[in-house]
Amino acid sequence: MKLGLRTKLVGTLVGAIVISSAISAIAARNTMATDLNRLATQQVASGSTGFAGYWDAKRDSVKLLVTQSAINEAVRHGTAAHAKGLEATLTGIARQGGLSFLTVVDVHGKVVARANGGPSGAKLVSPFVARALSGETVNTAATLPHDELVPEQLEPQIESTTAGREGLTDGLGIVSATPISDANERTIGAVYGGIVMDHYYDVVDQAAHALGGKAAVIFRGELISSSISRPDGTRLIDDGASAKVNDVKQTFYGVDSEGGVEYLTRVEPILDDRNQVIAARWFGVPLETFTGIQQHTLVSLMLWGLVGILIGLAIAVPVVQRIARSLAARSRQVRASAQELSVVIVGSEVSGDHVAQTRAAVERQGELLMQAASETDAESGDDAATSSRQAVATHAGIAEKILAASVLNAEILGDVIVIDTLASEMASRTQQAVARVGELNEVAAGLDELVSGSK
Amino acid sequence: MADVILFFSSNADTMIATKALKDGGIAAKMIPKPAHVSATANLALSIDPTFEAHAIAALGKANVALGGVAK
Repeated sequence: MKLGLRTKLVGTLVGAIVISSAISAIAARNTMATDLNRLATQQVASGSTGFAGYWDAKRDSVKLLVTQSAINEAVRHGTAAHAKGLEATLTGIARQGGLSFLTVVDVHGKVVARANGGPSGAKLVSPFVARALSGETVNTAATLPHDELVPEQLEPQIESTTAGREGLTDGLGIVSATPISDANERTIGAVYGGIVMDHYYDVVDQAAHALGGKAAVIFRGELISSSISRPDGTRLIDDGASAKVNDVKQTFYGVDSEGGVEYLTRVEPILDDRNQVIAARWFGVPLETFTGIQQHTLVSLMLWGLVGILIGLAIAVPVVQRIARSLAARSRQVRASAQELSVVIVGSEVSGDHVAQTRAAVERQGELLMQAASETDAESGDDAATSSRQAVATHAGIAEKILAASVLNAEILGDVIVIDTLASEMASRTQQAVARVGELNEVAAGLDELVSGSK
Repeated sequence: MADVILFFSSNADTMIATKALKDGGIAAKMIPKPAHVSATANLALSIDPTFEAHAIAALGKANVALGGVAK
């Protein structure tokens, strides 16, 4: 396709602006992606650490409440005397401290009273109670078996709310057990209490509100507590966690989808008192938070790039057109002048005027030289007197002709120089034109490759 | 009377000037630039001194920049 000079110049300009904008957008996107990834990693890591902090604070709080209960005078006297009123005391402490359960056993491990009003007298077989009765204070996350949940009246609290998923097996709790001592520092019993984390939202909501993401607790592959919302706005709970994170044994970092939303997540295992992984803390930030920024910035860059192209074109097109017009006019002038002078750009023909002038000058010079030579021959054939007179006149004529031939010779030399200069000038212009056409072809090929992807 | 030499900034301008003068009915002969003339072009135009004013006017009309005049 034959393109005009103006089209080629504007096309080259547009191509350069588009390429420049595209490279800028790609560079900005890559730089931003790197920075955002770093920022996202930091945010998720610090959020996860913060969530772990809330978890640990809750565990310490349970320990503090249980320990305080163990030194409570009413609890100590009630335990020693197996008092009936101990249950009310435990209920008050549990409600005030936000504990799910609080149970006192005697030195034999038999239940004296429960905050939730469950049956007493039976032996509490929890290993934590046994350790507390041996004088140790235990504070840990733990799996609460069915045998403990039922008598503590905790079953309704952790029963699955999801239809078709009923059937209680066990639950996750933060528990603490500590010995009760009398005035003589003899162990007379133990206090065992804690919080059941199933359907307990205090920790996840605190973490989510404070840290700006979403938090959840995964136990037995299910989300037993979370601040994640379903599409309908309800809390995502009792649903299975995604396959990526439902059974983590080591810290996981990556993209995870929960409730139909993709999150950049960090999942850390929750260990029990024997360092066994029993559950996981899930903390995530919606991926859209980061990709949205990227997309928004990219779109902004493209739009502003487009505005830049339009402004650039608005400024450049008139300038390019003026330059193109000027170049075209100049080119036309030179071409017309060259034609006038009979200078043909392609080929070896040069100024017809000068060639004709030079030819005429050479012929005239030849005639003058011939005349001079003839007069010299005629002089040699005459008698002496005549010869002497004529010799003076002939010598003068020959001298004039030689002088005229010399002038013509100078003129011929000038014409030859002009012809040579014109030939060089046109050859140079031809070379420049060929070089420019080559460059434009390369630019056109590059643009074609950019647009069509083919070489 | 010796011819007037018109010179220009380039050989292309000299060529354009030749046509402009020819179109204006002024005879001009393209010659190599004389040694005493200081110009970037290698060529110059030689015209009859009586046509100098006409030549300059014709060049101005044709929008050809005249580098200078040597007499």
